[in-house]
Amino acid sequence: MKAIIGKPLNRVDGEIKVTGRHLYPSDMWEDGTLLLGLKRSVHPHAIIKRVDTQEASKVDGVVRIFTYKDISGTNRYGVVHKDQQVLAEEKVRYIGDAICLVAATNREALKEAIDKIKVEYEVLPAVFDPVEAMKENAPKIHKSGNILQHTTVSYGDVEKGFKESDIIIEGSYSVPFIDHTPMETEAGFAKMQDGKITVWAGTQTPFRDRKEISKALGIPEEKIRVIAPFFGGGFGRKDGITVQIYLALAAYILKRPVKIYYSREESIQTSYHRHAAVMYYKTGAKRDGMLTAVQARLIFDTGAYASFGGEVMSLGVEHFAGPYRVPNSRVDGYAVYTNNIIGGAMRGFGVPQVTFAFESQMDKIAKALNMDRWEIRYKNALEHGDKTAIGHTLIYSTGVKRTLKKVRESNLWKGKDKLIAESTPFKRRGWGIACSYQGGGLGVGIPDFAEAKVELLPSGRYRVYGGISDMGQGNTTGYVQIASAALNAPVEMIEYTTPDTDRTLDSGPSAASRTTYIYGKALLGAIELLKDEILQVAAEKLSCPKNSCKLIDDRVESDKGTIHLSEIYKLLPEKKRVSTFYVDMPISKDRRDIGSGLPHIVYAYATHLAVVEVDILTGKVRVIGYCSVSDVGKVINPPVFEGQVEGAVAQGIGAALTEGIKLKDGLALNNNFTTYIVPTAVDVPQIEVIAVESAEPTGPFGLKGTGEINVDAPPAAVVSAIENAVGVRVSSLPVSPEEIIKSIEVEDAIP
Amino acid sequence: MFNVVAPENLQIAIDILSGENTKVIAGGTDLMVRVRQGMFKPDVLVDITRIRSLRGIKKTDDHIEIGATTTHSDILKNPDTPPLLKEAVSKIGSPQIRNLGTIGGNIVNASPAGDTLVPLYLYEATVEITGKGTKELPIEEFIKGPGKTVLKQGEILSNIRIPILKGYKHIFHKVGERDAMAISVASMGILYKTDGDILQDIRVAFGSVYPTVIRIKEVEELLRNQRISKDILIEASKIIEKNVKPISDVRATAMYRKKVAGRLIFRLLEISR
Repeated sequence: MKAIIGKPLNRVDGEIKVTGRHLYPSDMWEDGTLLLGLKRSVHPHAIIKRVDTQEASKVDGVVRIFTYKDISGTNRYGVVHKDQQVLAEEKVRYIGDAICLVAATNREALKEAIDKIKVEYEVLPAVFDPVEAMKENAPKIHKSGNILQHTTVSYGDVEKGFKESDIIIEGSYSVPFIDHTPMETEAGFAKMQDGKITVWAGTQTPFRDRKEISKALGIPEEKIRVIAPFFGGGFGRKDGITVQIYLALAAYILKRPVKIYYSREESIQTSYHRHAAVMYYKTGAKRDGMLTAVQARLIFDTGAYASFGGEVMSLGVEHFAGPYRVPNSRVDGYAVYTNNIIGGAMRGFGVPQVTFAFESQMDKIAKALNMDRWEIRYKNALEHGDKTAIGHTLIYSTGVKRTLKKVRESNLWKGKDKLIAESTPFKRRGWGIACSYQGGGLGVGIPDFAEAKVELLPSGRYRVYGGISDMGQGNTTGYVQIASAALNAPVEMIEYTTPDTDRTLDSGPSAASRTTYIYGKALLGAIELLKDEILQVAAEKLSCPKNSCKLIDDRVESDKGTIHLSEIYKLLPEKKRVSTFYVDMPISKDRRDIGSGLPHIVYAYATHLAVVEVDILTGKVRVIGYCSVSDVGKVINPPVFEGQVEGAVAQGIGAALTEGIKLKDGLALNNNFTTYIVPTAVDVPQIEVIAVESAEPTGPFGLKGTGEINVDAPPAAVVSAIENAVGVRVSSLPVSPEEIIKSIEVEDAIP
Repeated sequence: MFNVVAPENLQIAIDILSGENTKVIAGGTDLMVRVRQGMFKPDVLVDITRIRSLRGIKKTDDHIEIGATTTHSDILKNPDTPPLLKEAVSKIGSPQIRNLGTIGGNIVNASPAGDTLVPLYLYEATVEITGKGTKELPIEEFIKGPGKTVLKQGEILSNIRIPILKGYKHIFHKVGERDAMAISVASMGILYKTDGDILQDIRVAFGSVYPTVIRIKEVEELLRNQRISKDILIEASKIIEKNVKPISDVRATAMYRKKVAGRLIFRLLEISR
């Protein structure tokens, strides 16, 4: 039955989704449900002088307008730093800070009331550039100053490394805030049920949410239940509080069902985003291409609030020099407050930013040394047992060289010269390459665990309690597959649940490429315990040794006879029908002293190959060929894996070519899908997806994790290909067609 | 909140439209976006897509007639659709938008980025207005500026007449931020006729680089009866840059639009190769 691992299995949530039967958080509704909405700040930085809700509360259909005064807890939330207020007290720090929560019976009344709330502000000077914000005289956004976190790591002797180098390349790079663009915006439903505030929400962190709601509202945790049904995408955007506290507050005080969902415009302005960053690099290498030293200064714009700013920047610090051997390094990372929109968790978590920079540096060195771009990467690539650029030892599976070798066997590699030969005078083609790596899990010093739960049901079937949210990535299907293999039972015998703080056990966030890895691992432990109980009871009943009993499908078989699992259920004491198992994420053996969650130890690796076509008349870039080779350990379900790769590459191509929030004084100008341009099916080519399955000894069936690794490399690969096509090196994303045509004089370019 | 009425009779539609704060909806792919944004708040929307006489494509000896509420998808499917119009319509939005959106809606919307307008200007199409009577106007006179037409309260655009041009070929190039579901940042249409390697006739128009779609007759005159060469196109390119007056917005800068408009003319080199 282990044969199910590595085989396609239809998504367990597929049928309810494609038939429309699944209720997403934004679909939930009961008679009498009130709609919630927020009055938000229109200034990026201001003191609130007065809030007048009188006119607004007279609007027909308005049930209640809440301000911070209605909150009896701390009124604070935030994953690490509790610096966000549920409803603003005295000050707003970005355009979108929530000031009042309105409950109404219908949308029109809600909108009218929000418009009629009057807020008087004293506008303060604001700062939107993180480099400016770091200066002494910049407006102070928080009392603690504008530098949220400074993480610095050194390894070896960077000055000595530069002295030993034959060539030094410097470069500066910038990337904008990126939106996750989940199909479902922030949404949820709540009501009082069995005396508890019960919240259904699109959330990657139901257990953390329960704590946040409890503290912010001053309500004991045991009075709160958070449920995370399958929801319409997260990518990190829902890794923490969005609408949960508003729902809980209104349901608790009004004792009525309440619902909230953000418009796309509201979502883009007020949600968390991938951090904008500016990055300065200096890389030294020998004439043969071997790296001698890398130094960098990374400045991440975390916007008005911390969210994961320090942690995201630190992950950038950890991965700053790429999956290469770098004997001498120094990196300074800063996460800086500004009055911009908020930076937070997004797929890749700091790594996409630095990958663009360090891979651009690798290309520049190759060019300066007249070396092949593949070769310089292969020469420097990390191997098992090597030390990384921050000096910790890679003790688990390390497959970057395998991905580099494998990419040369791809159809795209073999066919790229022919594709490129089809260039026309106006449409020039070229190829590019980039590598990346991505640590899985939360890192040293951050509690990173899962506790799985599995139950034998009266019918003899099993139920796997899914402890970590499934936002669409397919981890629940992975759990069913893992359980099916471990229990030697067909998937039809496995029921599943999604997270529910009353039924499943805290297993941390759906994040950091950890979800299937760590929960799968805990699940295997829980299943072993349950199997043991089942076989023990069967052996007693059949009067035979336990090791002669075998669990096969819905029964236990031995020489002495067969017993159905529904019989076993009756024989087992209630407590023993359920088993749970706790696991911790493995951590690095060395360099645990760095802090800030560094370093990780289980890494996925990738090599990406892109072929692009640049229209020299318009500067437009089309990606016409793409291949991803990634080492994610064992692939449990190939179509789910391919979906993760294709989605990540598409998101990466978006970041390369069209995406990025355009901010004017803290306001997102492209705040909907007419102006925030994500690639469509015609903008992304067929992607050649190749897995290098280097077995990870610590993972369930050898799995590592695949959620993030393939989002990192696309911008670097695309930019590498653009230079190969037209000789223009882009250092700021997204690629600007204007910049490209400025660099190509059409009169010279046309024969 | 507003009401929607969907009469099947043209005269009834016109009568209702004579009332205050009414607006035609003919597909709604642009209109509803603006209603949602609160850009206008109509009391009554008059859906004219059920009026049979306004829908469909007819061919006469020298014209193609397209009813105002003919959808983009219907235009694409029809073998009589002029080829340049067909190519431009194929670049509109997505299949879903083309199934709903209509040519009349695209014209009355009067956006400088309207994808059907570049071909209609080049074919020198005329439009029929129905109100108290009917009248016919060249498309260039119908559109007054961004979002502005000569239509008055109680009038609708009912029909589009496109002269049939024999022996002409075309080039259409839409530059958008992506290859589908995109509003044009700049677009160029060319109708031309060759005699050997000489351009016997040529018409050139641009979208999204001027308050309306713009034909650049100076370029047409320069290129007419000439052999295509890099040098003459460099000259044409300069004339184009001089004539366009683009704006900067969230999609692109004015500088980019101007430069691209000037460069697109080089696509004419493809026909000589």
